[in-house]
Amino acid sequence: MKQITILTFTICIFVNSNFAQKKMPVTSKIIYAFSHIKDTNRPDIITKEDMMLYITPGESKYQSYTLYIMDSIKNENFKRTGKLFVSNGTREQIFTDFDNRLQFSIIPWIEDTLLIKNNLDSINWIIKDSTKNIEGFQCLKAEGVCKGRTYVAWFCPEIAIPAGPWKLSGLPGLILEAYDLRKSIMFDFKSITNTNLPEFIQLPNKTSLVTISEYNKMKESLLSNPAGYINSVINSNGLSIGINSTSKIDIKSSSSGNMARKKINNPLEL
Amino acid sequence: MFYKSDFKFYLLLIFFLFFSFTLLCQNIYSGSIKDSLGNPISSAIIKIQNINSININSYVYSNKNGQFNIKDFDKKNSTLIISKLGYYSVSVKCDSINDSIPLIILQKKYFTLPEVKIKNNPIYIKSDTINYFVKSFEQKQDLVLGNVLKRLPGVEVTSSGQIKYQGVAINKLYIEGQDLLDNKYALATNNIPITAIDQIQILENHQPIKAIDSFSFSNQAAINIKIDKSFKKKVFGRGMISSTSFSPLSIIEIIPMNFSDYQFIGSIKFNNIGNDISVEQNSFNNETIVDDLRGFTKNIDLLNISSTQVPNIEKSRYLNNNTKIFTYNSISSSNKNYQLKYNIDYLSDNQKQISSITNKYKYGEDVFTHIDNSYLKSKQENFKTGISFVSNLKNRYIKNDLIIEKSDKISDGKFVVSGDSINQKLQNNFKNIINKFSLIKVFGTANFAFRSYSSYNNTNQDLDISNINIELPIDTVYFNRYLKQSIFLSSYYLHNYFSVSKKFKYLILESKFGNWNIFQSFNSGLYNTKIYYKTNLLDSTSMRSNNSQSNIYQSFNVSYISKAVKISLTFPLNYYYENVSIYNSNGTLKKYSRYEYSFLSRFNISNKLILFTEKSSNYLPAAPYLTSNGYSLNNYRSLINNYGFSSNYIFDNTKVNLSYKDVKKILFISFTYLNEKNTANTSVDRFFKNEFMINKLILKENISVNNKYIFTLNKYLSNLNTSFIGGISLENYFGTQYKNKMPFNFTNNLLLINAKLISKISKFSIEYSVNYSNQRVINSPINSIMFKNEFSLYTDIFKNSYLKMNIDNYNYKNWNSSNNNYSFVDLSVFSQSINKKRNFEIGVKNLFDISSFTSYNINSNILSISEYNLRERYIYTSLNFIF
Repeated sequence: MKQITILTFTICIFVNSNFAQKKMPVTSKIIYAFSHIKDTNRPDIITKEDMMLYITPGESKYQSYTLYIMDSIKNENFKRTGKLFVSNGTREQIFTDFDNRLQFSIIPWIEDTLLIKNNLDSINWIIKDSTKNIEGFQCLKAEGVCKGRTYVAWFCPEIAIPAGPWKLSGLPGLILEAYDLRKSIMFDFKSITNTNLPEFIQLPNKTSLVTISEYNKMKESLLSNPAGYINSVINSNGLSIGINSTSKIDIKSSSSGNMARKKINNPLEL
Repeated sequence: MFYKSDFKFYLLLIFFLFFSFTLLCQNIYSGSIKDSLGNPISSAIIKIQNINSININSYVYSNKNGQFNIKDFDKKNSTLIISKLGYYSVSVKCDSINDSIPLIILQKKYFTLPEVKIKNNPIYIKSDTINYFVKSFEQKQDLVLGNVLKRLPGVEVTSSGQIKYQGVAINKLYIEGQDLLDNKYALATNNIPITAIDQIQILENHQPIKAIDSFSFSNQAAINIKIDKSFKKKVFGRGMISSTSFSPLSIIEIIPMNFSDYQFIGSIKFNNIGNDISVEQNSFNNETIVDDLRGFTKNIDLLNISSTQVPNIEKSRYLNNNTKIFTYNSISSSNKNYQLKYNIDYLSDNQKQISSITNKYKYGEDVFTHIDNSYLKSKQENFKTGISFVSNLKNRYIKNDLIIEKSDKISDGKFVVSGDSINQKLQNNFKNIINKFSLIKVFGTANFAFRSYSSYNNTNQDLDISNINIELPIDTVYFNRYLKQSIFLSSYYLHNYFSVSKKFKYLILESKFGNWNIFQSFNSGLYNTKIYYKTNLLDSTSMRSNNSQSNIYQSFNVSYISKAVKISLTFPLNYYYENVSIYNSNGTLKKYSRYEYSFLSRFNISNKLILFTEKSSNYLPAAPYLTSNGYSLNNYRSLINNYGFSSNYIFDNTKVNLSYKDVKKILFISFTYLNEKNTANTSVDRFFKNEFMINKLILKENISVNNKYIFTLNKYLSNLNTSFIGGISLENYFGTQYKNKMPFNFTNNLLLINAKLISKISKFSIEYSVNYSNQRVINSPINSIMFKNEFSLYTDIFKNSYLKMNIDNYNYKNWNSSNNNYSFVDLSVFSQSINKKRNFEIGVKNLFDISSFTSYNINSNILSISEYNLRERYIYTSLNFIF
């Protein structure tokens, strides 16, 4: 167990140091309106969220903008009132290193942060003749398959970075708008702002490196028996949750039913 | 065995040869990219692009060592472009590439992407505040706040500049939460640069006095302008200079402003191009309007020179002016609790007009026609200054305003009546001083209020008429030629009240006690100016009186204020005392009492639907000097005599306002019903003799009723950048007019339909509005129908250069069987810098050179045909700049 921990840390340090080469500050922030019909039987229920993409000349970081705003309000509120509220949104963050063609998914996990490392997907984009003006940016159309779906992407050659929302990337320009052919998943361009702060795209310091199959197993265990899984994780780590250490955690078994009921027949990744 | 292995060998050889041949045929080109220091550049985009389009044929990325391979491409029609964020792109013509691509060196650059601000819903609501993101409604031609304000859904800016929200006038316009301008907000709307504004907030149901916020409720909204961060801590402003084909200098404007802790906005303006800049000194929402009326604090022409009704077209088309204004407003806070406000306004306004008016007074089958052709020049000079001390806190409110005003007017006119030329000169000198004091103190759930209003003013007015040839039938004497009507009126007014309020959870009780007094001194005389010394023509034209009027009132108010329901009922009892002394004799003392009441209610039927009702009855006695007995020549056409009658008016108003708003869908609908009934105890009886008219007051009750139904709808489609505004108003008015003591009843109907579409389609910004009005005298063929189309188009012609075109079309059909059609066209080209700091415009106004405009109006039993000379076609250039 000790050896595994050391190995994990070593890998993490290596990954971080690798990622941290030739750092350049974040130049721009792009906001996308993300909408997703999770259950195609209920097309009237659309999950909407604002997502944000930070870009530097060689990297990008994609995360929920809605959650970012909510978290800052939550922190402010907690400082003022001592009350916490739960905010919903996509917690996964995606880091892309174009120079090394790597992609990392950062997933907060019960008192931990998981790091999934992948090679950057090579999407076989076919560039079409169509053009479109999106808020003053002249864009070209491309079609390609990503994570089991065919996407239409409108990219802007003027912004010379192969980045885009979520895991859509690899075009000769920033993707400003994308949607699948059924338009059940859409990324609409909302804004672009230049950042003047010397911010850098960096992986979190403390993460646990897992493979995608390990992560899927963990997710399955959590969904099948949330109370048992969380308790087992807490007990094995000797952790205590809560603001007040004496407060007890009472995760009722009924909650497992709630989580299990949230079925998605149209997930983001097929 | 040998043969078998031989065969395998040859097969393999043939395969490799074929593969190599294929590879050779594909012509793979290699290259490498480095920065100026020789470091390899990875993940750069290398693309082959058509020369004549932005289409990309193929693309690859450079690897970690900055190297790349790209397959065969069409050398003739392609360009190789190498680009990476943060570096200058490099283009290589493909036909210059032979066997290999030369080393490509990319130079670093400091770069910023063109920003696109967040496109959230352009408006959102939080509690009672609706926030509008200005950038969502701004268009490229917009320069100042007013340009975008009129485009905000739910907001209406009237032709006079007044701002309404959901059909109700706003009660304050704040800048960064400060009440700098005291409702003279046209100065802000016409001058704050659009680039300096971040957000516009509508504060619904706004009570400006914090101390009574929980004791009362308001149906009026306020507007708060939030200034962009980059403009907050500095002095900035806008300026303009313009010249025209008729004057080398037509507009000069400098408006500096600062909206930090110490706020100020000042302006120096000159123009002779027809812009009515005097509106920037007008107050749009007067909190003490009744006191101002009673105290005679507005400079009103008691005598007048007949003037022609102004046409219902853009003012700059007919206004022939030479106007200078100077304005300075400041507000400073020594600390958060106290503020000191200072204001100074100066206006010098010279105007000219050439016009004619035909008035037809209709009494049954009798019609009396008066025709005036006039050439009028007027000169006005106003000076006003005010200083205010304000402390607006939740537990205490103190405010003292001191206002000093001086105004001088001279109007000089030449009139042609029945072929004769008559000269008239009107002089009006006015001086006024007002002090207003308010104190409100909150003690837990109770409050105590004291208010005092005092004013002193005097006006000296002379009307000189020369060459008059009309017989003036006063008593049995007729005179003519050279006359002077002089009036001197001084008024002292004092109004004090105090009130006590107590709050019991939802219930609020208020008791108010107050009194007001007016003392007026009045002199009036009609003189023959041809003779050496000044004497009154007759005893009946000489009036000298000292008058007083007093009122003691007490009122009770019961209010119920919960979140959903707000009701207020006021039922005061007033005691009036009037004392009129004519000459030096003892006057008559009249005592009487009158009930007044008001009822207000507001029901929040849902978050979106609100019903507001108001019913009130108010009593207003005419000014005491009007109870004098004698003739005065009001203008060269009419004599007035009130015969000592004391007029009074009862105003009964009913108002129902139903408003619906859905901020998410950006839909605003309002319906208003108004019933205004005015009951006067006296009527005006008219006598006509040829071109002359005598108006005598008679003791006959006169009731006039005005019904209005107003419906407005405002919908904004953010996806289409399109806004639709529609409105219907139906007015119904009936009353009685007397001629030779005979009553004639009449009813007027007025139907107004307005629709406006504002849209931005690709490079085109379009504003199109249609106005239809139909005035009609019931039970008669008399009507006037006006159909007005206004179309504005803005479009890009070059980079940062735009074309602006306005087309206004008016079509009149009326009882006179004439059908007038006018089309005004204005054309201009303007060019502006990207940050809108400079804007240069060149254009032509009134392209078709329309020289006069005739309009038709119906006002009770008076039918008017007015012809107004317009400003002829001219070319102009202007430069707008922000500093």
